[in-house]
Amino acid sequence: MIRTVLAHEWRLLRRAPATWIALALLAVSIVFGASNGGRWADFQHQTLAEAEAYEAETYGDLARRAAAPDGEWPDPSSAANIGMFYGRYATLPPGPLAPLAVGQSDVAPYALYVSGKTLASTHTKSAEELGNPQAYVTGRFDTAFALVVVLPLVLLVLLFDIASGERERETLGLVLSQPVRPGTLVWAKAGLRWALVAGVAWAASALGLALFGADLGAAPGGLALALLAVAAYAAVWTALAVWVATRGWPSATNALVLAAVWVAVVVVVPGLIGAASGALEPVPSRTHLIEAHREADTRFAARGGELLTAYYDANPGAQPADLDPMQYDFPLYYTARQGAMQDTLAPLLRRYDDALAAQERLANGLALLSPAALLQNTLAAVAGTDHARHAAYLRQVEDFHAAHRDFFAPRAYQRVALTASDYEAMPRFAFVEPGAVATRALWPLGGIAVLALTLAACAAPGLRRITTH
Amino acid sequence: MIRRIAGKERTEMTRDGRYRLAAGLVGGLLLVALALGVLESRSVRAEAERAEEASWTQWVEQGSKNPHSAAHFALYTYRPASALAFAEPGVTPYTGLAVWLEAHYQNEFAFRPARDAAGVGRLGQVTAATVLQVLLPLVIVLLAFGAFASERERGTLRQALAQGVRPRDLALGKALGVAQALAVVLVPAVVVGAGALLLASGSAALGDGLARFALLALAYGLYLAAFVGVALAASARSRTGRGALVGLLAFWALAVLVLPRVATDAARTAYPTPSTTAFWTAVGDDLADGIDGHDPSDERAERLLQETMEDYGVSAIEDLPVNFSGIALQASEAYGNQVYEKHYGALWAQVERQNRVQALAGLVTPLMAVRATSMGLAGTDFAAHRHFAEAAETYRRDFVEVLNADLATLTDPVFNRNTRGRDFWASLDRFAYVPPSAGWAAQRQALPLGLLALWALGGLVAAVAAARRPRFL
Repeated sequence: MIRTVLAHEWRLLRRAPATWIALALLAVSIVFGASNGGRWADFQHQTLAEAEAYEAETYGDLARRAAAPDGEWPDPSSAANIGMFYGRYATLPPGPLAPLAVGQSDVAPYALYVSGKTLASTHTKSAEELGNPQAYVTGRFDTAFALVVVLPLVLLVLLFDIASGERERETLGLVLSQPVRPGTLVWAKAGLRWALVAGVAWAASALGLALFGADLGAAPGGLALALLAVAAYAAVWTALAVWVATRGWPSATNALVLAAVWVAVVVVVPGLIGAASGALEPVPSRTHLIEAHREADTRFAARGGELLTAYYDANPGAQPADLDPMQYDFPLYYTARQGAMQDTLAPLLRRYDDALAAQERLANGLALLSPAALLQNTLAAVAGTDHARHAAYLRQVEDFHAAHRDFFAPRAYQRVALTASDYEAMPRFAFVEPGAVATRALWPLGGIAVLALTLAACAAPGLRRITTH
Repeated sequence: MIRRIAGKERTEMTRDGRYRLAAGLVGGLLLVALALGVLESRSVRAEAERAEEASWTQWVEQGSKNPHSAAHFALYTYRPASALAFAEPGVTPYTGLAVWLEAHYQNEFAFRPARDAAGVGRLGQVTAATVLQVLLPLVIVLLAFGAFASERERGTLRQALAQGVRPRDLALGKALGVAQALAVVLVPAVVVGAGALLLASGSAALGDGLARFALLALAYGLYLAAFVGVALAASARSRTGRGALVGLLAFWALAVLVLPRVATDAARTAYPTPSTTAFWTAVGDDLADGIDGHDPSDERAERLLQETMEDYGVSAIEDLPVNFSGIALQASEAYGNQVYEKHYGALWAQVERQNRVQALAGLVTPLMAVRATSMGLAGTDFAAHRHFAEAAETYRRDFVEVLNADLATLTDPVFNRNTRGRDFWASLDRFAYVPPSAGWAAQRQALPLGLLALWALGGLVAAVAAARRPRFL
């Protein structure tokens, strides 16, 4: 019987222009979203290429000049000068599925210029992207937006009157006079619509991502997780619509209730989660970082000689014979001063990272209140635009900053001339992906699945009560 | 007659449990959003004022050093919070909170608050502006979709028209009824908002704040009126209440959530801005090689030295009665200013082109018009940010020039012996920012305000026209 119901439903759906308009709207949204996400990923790739080109040119020149000294400024053999006034970009490359979700990647730095200066100064200068702040207020139309916001709308347009519509057209009695249980009828109608919408979402996502620069082959597991999450998310809305159908309300009431739930789940609750996590786990104002940096600057400004002396005392044999630590030497004093400032400021900088991690943990927990928030988190994790991946990047930048300093500062203090081979050996940054995406994406995905099952279980008992009036 | 119809509509709506629930939830959320906004913007304002003061103290207490070293240490200035940011934070989360006013660099603002917030919150911010822009139109749809449709289904529409009620009066009366039902939500919010404004603005800026507040109220009034008009027109023209509702919900979702993002991304694609890396590489190239690419900095410096020596009639740099560093630094500063004007000018022009497209998108959805106006009048749009950035930059240029001029008078050949101390640092002028007036903000809103008026008028005309030719079946 269920096959007959499905066959009839499919015939009805196929002939209704609204079905095709809704599905086309969804497909176009998803592909348009992928084009925007892809454009942003391309933009980042472009930045990475620019950074790489800059480094290749700068360090290529310096290495050549170190091999054949010409007496021009800057002296390429001076570890103090090169370590302090040149740096390297530590870049976070977009993941293979980046076009899926922009996430926080547009407000978080991804190309930090790391030199011997303090890590805090790296964060204060040119760390963030330029661009139009007014565009951020509205937000980006990425694939995640199409899936989180538009998909349920399309699904609800197809689902809001599955039982009430038949009742209002007075066809429900006719259908139920056939040997079919109301529950079977409603589930079959809802299931068909769910499969249509999820199928279109899957196909359009794969197509859009492939068209706009995602490397699907590089992350098949991630893609599978994302598609599963989308299907589960669609199942949440389907189950909700079925539950509404069991209440026996007229279509207009169903539409209103579903629209209200949709706006609550998609807009209001995520906003409240953001506000609550910000209020309960606040990240201290960055004004304190700026002030602490300047305070440290002033504190160590006139103490270059003292800091150098302390270094030589702690490292016997490091002091070159002709060097008087109390004799003013700008690059050397600057190296000592920035090192001391870095040691002072490192714990403070870490405190911001810790506070943000705590806030994100709370927000991830609260996300259970909204399947939209859960799907957004899953997609961001799969796309590599989530907080966890960025936090891993910042930790690696911190390590890289330390490696850079460990390379240059001792050579500066010991007045070791940099050679062409030193230029080969200089530390470079290469981002290492933190663990499997699955570990970050699985639990929000699980949350969505549990919600879908719970809603379906709530809807089930009411199905028997579906009547013609 | 209009008033009697309005009264009937209002009574019907306010007796409806669905209306009471929606109004309670949305009204409650609006008050929560206002409260959160007031707390947030108070703490941001206090923090910015404290940090601004601390920055100046650090400048004065930096110890004795060469004026050029001091120009490198320089100052930070913190973006002041607009008095209305509690209701409409606008771009505030997406622009850095402070800018470093140092020698050689026109820096960008650093540290966007959005970076230190949970990403999921960006799906929907809980601000009074969001509630007014996104949720209240949904309440209007709920209130108005059945205004004609349900009367038609009950058969009372024919009766009313048969009794000689003019269709125009019917439409306007129903519009007024919806407005009265909305007032239950809006009036408390306006009272709370005005109270928060009184607390937030000093007595000097109060008049300005109230003028902005009144214009904001007008803009939102027009925005909501547009939705009332569209909803009544759809209700009168639809065959069934259900049809009116589904159509209106689709219009609402497109207008407030989908089309704004489409318009914003289209504007971004049409007028792209450079990456930070590309921007600073281009600035660096122009500083090194000259704006035209054929005037390297070392040749500029050499030329300046020759001219300066000629001016003083000497033939060696040591014989100059002034410190040439000060002159050379100021010349390079002046050159840098031209380079920054070129690059920031191009960047900001591009952003403004994007924003014009966004405001023009107000033709397609009233949300884009009200969003532009709302940020503009609240003093939290890009134009207000740019106004502050330009004022800070003007101050930076004067500040660095004073330090360079002073350095030129210090002629010891040893850099570190040319120093100044506390008294000199304290003698420099402080940055005193004067925010633009309500008039300045309002005149920039002519286009979006005009579009809103058009929407409101168009909506009401459509409602009246639809009421003249209602469907009876």
